[in-house]
Amino acid sequence: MYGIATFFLDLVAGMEVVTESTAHTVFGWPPLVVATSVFVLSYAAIIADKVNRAIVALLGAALAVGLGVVTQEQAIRGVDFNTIGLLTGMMVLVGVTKDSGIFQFLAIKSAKMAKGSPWGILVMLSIITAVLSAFLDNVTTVLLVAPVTLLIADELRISPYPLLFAEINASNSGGTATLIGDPPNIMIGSAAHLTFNDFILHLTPLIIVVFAVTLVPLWLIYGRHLSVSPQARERVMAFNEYAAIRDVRLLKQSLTVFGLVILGFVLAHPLHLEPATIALGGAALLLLLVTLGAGQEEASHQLHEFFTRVEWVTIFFFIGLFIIVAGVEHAGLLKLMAEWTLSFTGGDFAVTTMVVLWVSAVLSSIIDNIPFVATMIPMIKDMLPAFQAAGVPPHQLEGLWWALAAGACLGGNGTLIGASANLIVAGIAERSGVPIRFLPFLKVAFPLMLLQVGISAFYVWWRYL
Amino acid sequence: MKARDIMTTAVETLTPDATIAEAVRHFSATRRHAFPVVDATGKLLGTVNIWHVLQHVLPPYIVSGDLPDVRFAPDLNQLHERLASMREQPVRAIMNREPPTVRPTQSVLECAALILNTPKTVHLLPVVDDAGHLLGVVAPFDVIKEIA
Repeated sequence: MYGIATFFLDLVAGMEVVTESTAHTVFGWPPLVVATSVFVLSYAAIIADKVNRAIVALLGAALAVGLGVVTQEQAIRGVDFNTIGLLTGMMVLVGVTKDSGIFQFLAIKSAKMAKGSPWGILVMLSIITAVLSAFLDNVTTVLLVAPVTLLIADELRISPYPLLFAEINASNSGGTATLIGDPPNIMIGSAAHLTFNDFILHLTPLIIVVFAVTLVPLWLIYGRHLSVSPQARERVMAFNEYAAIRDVRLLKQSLTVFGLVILGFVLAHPLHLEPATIALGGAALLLLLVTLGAGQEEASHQLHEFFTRVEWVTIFFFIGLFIIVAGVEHAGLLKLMAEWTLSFTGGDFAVTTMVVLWVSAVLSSIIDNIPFVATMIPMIKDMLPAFQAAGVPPHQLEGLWWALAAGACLGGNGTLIGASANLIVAGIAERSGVPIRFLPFLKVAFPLMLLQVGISAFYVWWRYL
Repeated sequence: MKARDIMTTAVETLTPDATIAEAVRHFSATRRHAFPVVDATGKLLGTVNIWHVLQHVLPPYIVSGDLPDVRFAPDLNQLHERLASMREQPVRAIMNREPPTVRPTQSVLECAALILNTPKTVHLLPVVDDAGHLLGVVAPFDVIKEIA
């Protein structure tokens, strides 16, 4: 009888046969040339930004497979489903939770804690943006905080520009602090087996310092010029943050599940759980709680709505990129690039780490840090054996990953196009008649970014080199 | 049946220089939600409706939907100021300069489709000749009054 067990045995056998197969490029073209061409063309199209980046990445992936750089099986194994699962799970969690009104509550509460002082509000909103960005994705955070900021600035009769500027900066800095704060960190954590706690121990202290130091120039440039009337302060103090809570039941459910998920991340190592399992498990639990008691049709309707809040464009962008990078990895390009880098730095670990940090920051301020980090990860993995052979101890080797994470995430602060959150804030501001222009933004943001990366360089040198 | 068969020809209009305060008084006195705006020769320049006024009163981040829920703000202080500052502004500042229009020979079906399928709700559909002069208006009610 062809039972279920036999079916699975056949399936496994089939997979093994498939795994054995190797890719053959069409017309016998050299794989390195084909893979590199697909990689360069795709990245050029992503930078040109004429066609949506997810479409470009998927087309590039289709080409990589279609031209025989990798087989479909190799392509699929190139996709880091731990990253995809963690991202999707967190997107569902946030998508459901935001209906509770908790994020607006936090923004208003923080503004009121500053007693209506404009500099105090700038600092408090920055802190709340940084903390939220550390646990949620940055785009969602600014989508929730920036409109409230516009309203607060209106009531204070001040320009919202300094507040929005500080929030952009806080969002990218906060995102750098944790494993789940920014997609590059998710990728790095997954690839280098760095846990949630590792990020808390290694990057969070750096980000606290970076955040605090950044406030000094922000005060000199904007803060000391901000002043409001006592009436304006009273108007902000009259806000009722508790009215922002729209759904108390949902709030309790969300906070409980969020608490469990964070606890799960903290205990992931002893529990032998990967972050994707925790995030998707949490998402499933929250969806169950939220739809509990609703009729079947209502529950189905709600579920449909929640799943539309997942940013599928980003998810498919990731999938495409992973496959394109798998292509150049299989073809040996990344190994070559790793060798070039090592010959450039003379194989010196400290120099290599600093190069990774600064190059990551400058490039990430111009191009999307996701494709950049997706390429850097296998490249760095290729470099590690050389350093191990040279006797660099493991805890120092980790410094290379922290340099990549800090550079790639903080680099987003450098220009208006450095990170998605920057563009989202610019869009909201533009619609409200407060355009954030590329060059004026650059003049303040780029030096600030250099300052932040400088602090990171000192930190990495002091702690790991 | 054509647009000319159901349109209202005795139309009250506004001039582009009428103030928003005058327009609001008109809305209030006639209980109508929209008026065509025409120049001295009767040429259609646009339409103005009560939603245009409302959109102008609210801050842009609320109109754009970026901040859909403001229940935590006891009252928007700026609302009163904006209302006061709008009073003397001309209608041309807020009117829709490119409203959907129909020719008298277009079918009632087309009128109904335009009223329903335009991204922003159409409260009145001006009927114009080839030179753009206003001949009448078709309101949603004109389309369905046959039923009664």
